Amino acid sequence: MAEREVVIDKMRLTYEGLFDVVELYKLIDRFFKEKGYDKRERHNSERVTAEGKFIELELEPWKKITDYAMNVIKLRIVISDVKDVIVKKDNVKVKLSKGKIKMVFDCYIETDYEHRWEGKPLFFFMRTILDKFIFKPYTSGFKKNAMDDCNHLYNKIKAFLNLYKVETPAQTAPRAAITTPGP
Amino acid sequence: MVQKYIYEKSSKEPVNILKFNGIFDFDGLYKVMHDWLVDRQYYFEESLYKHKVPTPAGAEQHIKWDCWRKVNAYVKYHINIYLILRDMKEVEVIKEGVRKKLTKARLLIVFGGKVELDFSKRFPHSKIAGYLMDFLINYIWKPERVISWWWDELYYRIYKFQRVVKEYLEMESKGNAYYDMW
Repeated sequence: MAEREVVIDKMRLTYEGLFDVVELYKLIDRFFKEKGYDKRERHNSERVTAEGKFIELELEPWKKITDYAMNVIKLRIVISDVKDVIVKKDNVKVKLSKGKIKMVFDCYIETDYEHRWEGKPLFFFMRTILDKFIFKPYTSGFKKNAMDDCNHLYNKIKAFLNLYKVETPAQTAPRAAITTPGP
Repeated sequence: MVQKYIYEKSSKEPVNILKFNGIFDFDGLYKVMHDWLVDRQYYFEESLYKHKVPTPAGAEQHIKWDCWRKVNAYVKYHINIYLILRDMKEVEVIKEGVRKKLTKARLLIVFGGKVELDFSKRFPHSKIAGYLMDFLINYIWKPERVISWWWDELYYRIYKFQRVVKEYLEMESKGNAYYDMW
């Protein structure tokens, strides 16, 4: 079995208020595409209840970094009590939705996803030793990138939902690359 | 055998599961899904059509489609669709002044697919032919390439198909950013 190392464990985001469901879904889908992730939509469910629509999504896109390791971001979204409302924005009537959103983000690094190093006990042993002592700098770099992707998505969604006033910079670059304005 | 490996890799799990609970035009959905497959030259076969005796909650239907299409002399795509409708009832709705008969049900659609190699069984007639096929796949094409050429194409086409269904059902999560893939 391929090994999964948890990078982000159940980071949550909750929101209640006005938003556009279709645009939110598009934002997430587009984000993964732009970042080079392959699409995997495990489960997509929608039902109409008396309180409004109930939407449940489970996305698990992946991105191969090397022949040995890949990033996996697991995103579970539950949107409940979704009702259509018409809002006046800049004197223009806009159709939006009102409801509750709950999101859970998980991020993993999956190594040996092609199961090449687990056929024989010796291979497995070698893989563990190499992982532990030789590939560690690479693996930690992969972990950092995966974490940054996940955080970037989190911030993007937060910005979309107006939880920030301004979109925060992507945390994909090393810390030193984020320049702060000088005096 | 490599062929088995490819099979397992492709059809280990369904590509996607779609659930919808509400009122929709089932006849229209059936037609849209059927037409999408037929327009793309898939051989359409309804291998199962089961209608259970209705209970007070409604009827239950199970429909299975096995559709395939030859890509070249060696590769065949399969798209497998499994539709389950539970608590199915016919309701009359007035939409834009027109009286319409729609279906109220719990719908579950399982989208799956697989790539079949050597569908005409040219190679495995003898042991030598089997080895030749293994050599062809492992060293000439390489499994990774086989998967990224054919399996990727089928995978993203199934997502396009899923998008059509989502748009027909007017689901909130419609759209597909990967529309330009294949």
